[in-house]
Amino acid sequence: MKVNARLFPLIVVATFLVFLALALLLGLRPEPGGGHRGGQTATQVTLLLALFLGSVL
Amino acid sequence: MTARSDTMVRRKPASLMTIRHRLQAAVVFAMFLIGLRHVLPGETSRGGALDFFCPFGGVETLLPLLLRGDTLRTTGLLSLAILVAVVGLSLLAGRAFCGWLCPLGAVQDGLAGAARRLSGEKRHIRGKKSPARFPTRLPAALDRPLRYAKYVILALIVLASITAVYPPLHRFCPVHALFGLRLTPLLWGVLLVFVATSLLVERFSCKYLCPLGALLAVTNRVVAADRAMRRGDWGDDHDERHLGVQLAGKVALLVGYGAIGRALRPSLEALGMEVRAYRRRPRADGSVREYGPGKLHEALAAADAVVVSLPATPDTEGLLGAAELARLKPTAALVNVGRGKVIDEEALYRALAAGRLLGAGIDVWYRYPKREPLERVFPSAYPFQELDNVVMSPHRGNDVRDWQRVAARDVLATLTALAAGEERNRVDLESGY
Repeated sequence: MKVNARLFPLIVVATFLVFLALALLLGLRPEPGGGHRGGQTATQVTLLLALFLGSVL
Repeated sequence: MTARSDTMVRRKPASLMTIRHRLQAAVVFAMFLIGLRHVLPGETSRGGALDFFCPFGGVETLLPLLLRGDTLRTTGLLSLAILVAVVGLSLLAGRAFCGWLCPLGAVQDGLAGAARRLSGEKRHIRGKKSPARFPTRLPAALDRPLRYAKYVILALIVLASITAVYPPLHRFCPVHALFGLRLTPLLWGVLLVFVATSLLVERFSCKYLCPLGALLAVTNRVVAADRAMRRGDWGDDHDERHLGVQLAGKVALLVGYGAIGRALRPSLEALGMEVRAYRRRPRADGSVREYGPGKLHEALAAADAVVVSLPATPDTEGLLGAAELARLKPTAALVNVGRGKVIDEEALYRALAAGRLLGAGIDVWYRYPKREPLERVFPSAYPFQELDNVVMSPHRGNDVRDWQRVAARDVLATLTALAAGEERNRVDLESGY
């Protein structure tokens, strides 16, 4: 697929925002007061890590 | 409507470089606003700290979150979300974050530009632009070991984060020094070192110190041994990709067998290579094996080195596209001294970036600077300059000291031949030369 080089900036920004939205949807949302206390998010992070390692390796 | 259209001034679209600079400026401005919020009373404890918006804050807080279930203070889940976005972008578009979205990278680019101007880039001597003295590159002996420093920093910070309460980096983080607006003596020192190194060496922090860059290098599979090999360090003898290339006995394919191709042949044969040629009208009785149109894929598949010396004509433009480059061996090297457009720009970049070719030597390009004054421009819409497996030269294949004398002799020989009723160097105008 030939991609117009002029679209590259748009692709960079869009990709960044799509992954950011994906992470927020998966539960990595800022909490009121900042920081995070409690263990349930660790499972989500572990799943995300597995997803990334799967795609990289 | 027509009259209005006629009088409208057509604006030239901004170049990619301009768009990149604008995007970088926007990111720096956004960081400035985040920095302002950071120093407002109480905001740090309410999730307004700089680390909260930093992808490396996500790296620092990852292990504590997995091991203890809590994030480090001044970081949060948003740091992790931004880290996910940065790593996701790097998986799809390589180091695009570093070049387009990183505020530290943007500031370093700005400082490098200032260093160029201050060190004399704008001066013109006898019509030629004088080179800037700064930013410069470190000597290879220093550059090579320093490249590993960022991996060491990354490892130390990840280890330190296990028992930390605050992010280990935040006391001496250059982002805090640049945007935090509340500088400790240590951060003043970091700021001074950051500015000085950025002025002296282009993107010093990115190359040698950035732990996030180290992480992205891993996600891009740019392992340390590969970097070493690309600088001539042979590295691991057991990895076939890190070994050198024995030219003797290998096949060199000359794509275009005109004056340049024929002149190259003795040099390649002297190296022990078997020379083959691709040309529009192959000769069966030629002294080298010749391929014609329809046999290009076959010729490319057998080649270990390909030298393109074709002119740009309607027939040759895009002659080597994605399908043709895919025929080349992953150990093949490609050299273009003809015209850039003969090889599809995007296909070549993607093949090199993906490591589907050993490397390329490129003298002829897709974009050239305007002269008087000489414009500063990258030679392609694609960042070939970021690829370590490319040797770039600014279209100077014929720039030798006595080229005028050689050209004059050639013209004289042509005139002498014409006077004798012979044809020499006949140009095929019908083919679009």
